[in-house]
Amino acid sequence: MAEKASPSSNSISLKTVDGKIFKVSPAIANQMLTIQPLIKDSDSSTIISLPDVAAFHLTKIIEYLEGKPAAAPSAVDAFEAQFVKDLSPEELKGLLIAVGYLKVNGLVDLMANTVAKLIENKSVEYVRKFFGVVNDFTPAEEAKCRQEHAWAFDGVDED
Amino acid sequence: MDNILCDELLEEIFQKLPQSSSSSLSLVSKRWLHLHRSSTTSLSLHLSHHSSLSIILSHYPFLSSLYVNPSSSSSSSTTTIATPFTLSSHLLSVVSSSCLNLRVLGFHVGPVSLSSLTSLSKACTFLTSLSVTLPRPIFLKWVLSFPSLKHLSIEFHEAEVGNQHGVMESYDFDDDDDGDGELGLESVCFVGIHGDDYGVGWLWRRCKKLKRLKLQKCQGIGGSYSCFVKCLEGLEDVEIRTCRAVADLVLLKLAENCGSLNSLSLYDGGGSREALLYFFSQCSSNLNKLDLRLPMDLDNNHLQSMAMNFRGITSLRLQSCYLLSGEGLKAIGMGMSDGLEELALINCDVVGREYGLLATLGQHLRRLTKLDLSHNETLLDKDLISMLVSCVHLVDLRLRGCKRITGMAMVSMLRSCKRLENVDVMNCFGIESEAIEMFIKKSPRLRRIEVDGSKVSDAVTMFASNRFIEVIA
Repeated sequence: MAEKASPSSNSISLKTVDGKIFKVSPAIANQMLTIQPLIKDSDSSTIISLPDVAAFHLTKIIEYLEGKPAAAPSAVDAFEAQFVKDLSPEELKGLLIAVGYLKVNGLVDLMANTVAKLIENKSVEYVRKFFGVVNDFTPAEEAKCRQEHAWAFDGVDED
Repeated sequence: MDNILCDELLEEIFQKLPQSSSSSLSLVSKRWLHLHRSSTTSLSLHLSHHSSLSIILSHYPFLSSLYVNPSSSSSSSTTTIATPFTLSSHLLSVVSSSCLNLRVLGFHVGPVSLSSLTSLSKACTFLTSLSVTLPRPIFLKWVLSFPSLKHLSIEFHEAEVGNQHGVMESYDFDDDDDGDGELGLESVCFVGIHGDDYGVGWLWRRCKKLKRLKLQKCQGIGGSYSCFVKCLEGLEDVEIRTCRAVADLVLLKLAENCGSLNSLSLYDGGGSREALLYFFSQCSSNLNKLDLRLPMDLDNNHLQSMAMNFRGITSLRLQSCYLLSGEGLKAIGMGMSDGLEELALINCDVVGREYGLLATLGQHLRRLTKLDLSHNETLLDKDLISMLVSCVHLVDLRLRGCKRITGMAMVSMLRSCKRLENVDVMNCFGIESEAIEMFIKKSPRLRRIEVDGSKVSDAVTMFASNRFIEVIA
C-alpha cells in the first residue's frame, strides 16, 4: 500500500504499530528527526519500527511531506488549511501525537496550532476528557487557581 | 493516563494560544499547570489584590516581559488613592525580588520611588525596556544604573511627593563634562513634562544615541532648550501629541539641529502657522513620513513649501485640516508625484468641496498604493471615480464614513483597481448590499473588507471565508 513512495533500492522501510510496512525515500524519512540517526546505519533490508505511530497517521505524514509546496508562503498556507480541513478531532489528536513522536519538520507546528484552535474556547472539562487527563487538583486547589486567574490575567472571564 | 501528550507538545500548544485561553487550560491538571507556568515568558496583570503579587510572580520563574496595570474594574478604589506612592513602590520592589530575568517591564500601578528603581536596577540588570510613572520632583540619574536600557517611557505624576522621595539626588547644572554619563537610550517617551522639571534636562544632555522621541501632554521640555538640542542630532522618528505649549519650539529646534529625521507625527494642535512654515521650509532632513492631525493653522502656504522641500515623502497623512484649498493639494500632487505611495486626506472638507481636485491628484499620484479618504461626508461618486481611474496600483482603500458614495464607486473600484487587497467601506450608507456582494465576489485580490454587517448575507460570508477573505463587520 505504500508503493507510491520512491521505489528506488535505497528506500527506507518503516513499520507502524499496527504492522503495516511503508517504503519511503530517504528525503522523506530524513524530515522525521526522531528516526534520522537510524537511517544512517540502515540498509535496504532494515525495517525501522515506529511503536507510537499507526498506519493512518503515517499515511497522512507522508502525504504532507510529499505534497507541501516549496513555493510561496501563501501556497503553503492554502495547502496546510486543506490538509487539516477534513480531520476529526480524534484524528487530529492522534496525528499530533504521532507527529510529536517523529518530530516531523513543519508538521509539529501545524498540528499544535490546529489542536490549539480546537481547544481554545473549550471548557477545562472538555479538554480533560479529550486528552484523557484525570483531574488531580483538590477542589480547594482548583478554586484557588481559578481565583488567581480570574483577577490576575488580562481578559479572562470566569466560567 | 495524563502523559499521552509529552511536555514538549503541550508547551508547543500553550505557545499557540492567547494568554487568556492558555491560562484557563492550565487548570486541566497539576502537570498542565506546572508546564504552563514554566513556559510562560510574558505576563500582563491587572492588579486588584495587591498582597498576592509576590505569590503570583513566584509561580512564573522564566518571565522576560511583565506588564502590571491597575485593576480596570476598581480604578477608583480607595487603597490606591490613599497611599499611591508607598504602595506602588512596594509593589515594584516585589517585582524586583521575584523576576530576575526581565527584559521588558511596564509598571503603571502608581508613581514609584527612586530607591525602588535602584533596587530594580540591581535585580534586573538586563532590562532593555522600562515604562514607569514618577513623582515630582523629577530625578533621572538612576537611568545610569540600567546599562542595557534602550527604551524608556515615563509618565510624570501630577502630585508632588515631597521628602518621602527616598534617595535624594541633586544636579549640578554647571557640570557638563562628566564623561561617564552617556546613556544608551534609543527611544524615549515622556508624558506630562513641566517647564521646571530640570531633571529631564539632565537626561537630554546625555542621550546622544536617541532615535525615537515621543512627547505627550507636555507643557515644557524640562529645563533649557540648550540641553534639549543635545539629543536631537540623530533622531529618526518624532511624535508630538497634545503639546501646544512646546510644539513650536520643538519644531524649530528639530529643523535647526536634526538632519536625520525620517518620520514626524503631530497630533492635536501644536505648531503655529509660523513654526510650521519655518519647519517645512528649513528642515534639512529627508522626510519619508508626515502625519498631521488637527493642525489648526495648516494652510496652502505650508503645503506648497512642503511640496518644495520634502520631495522624498512616501507617506502623507492630513486629518481635519480646514484651511486648505485645492491649490495647496495640487502643489503636493505635482511636487510629490515621483515618490508618494500613501496618502490620507481624512475629514478634510476640501476633498468634497472642490470639483476636479481628486481627478488632478489621481493623475499626478499614479504610484499610490494606499489611499484613505475616510470621513469626507460630502465626497461624491464622480469625484472619487475620477481619481480611481488613475490609481491603478492601489492595494489599500479606505472610505469609512463617506456617506454619499454609492455602488457606482464599487463598480469603478472593480474596473480600475484590480490590485485591491484591503477595503474599508464601513458606514458608507449610500452603498447598497448588492454592490458590496458583487465586489466581494469579483474583486480578484481582495483579502480583507470592513463593512456594515447588515450588508453581507450569510451566503457571501461563506463564499468569502472559502476564498480566505476576511469580512470585518
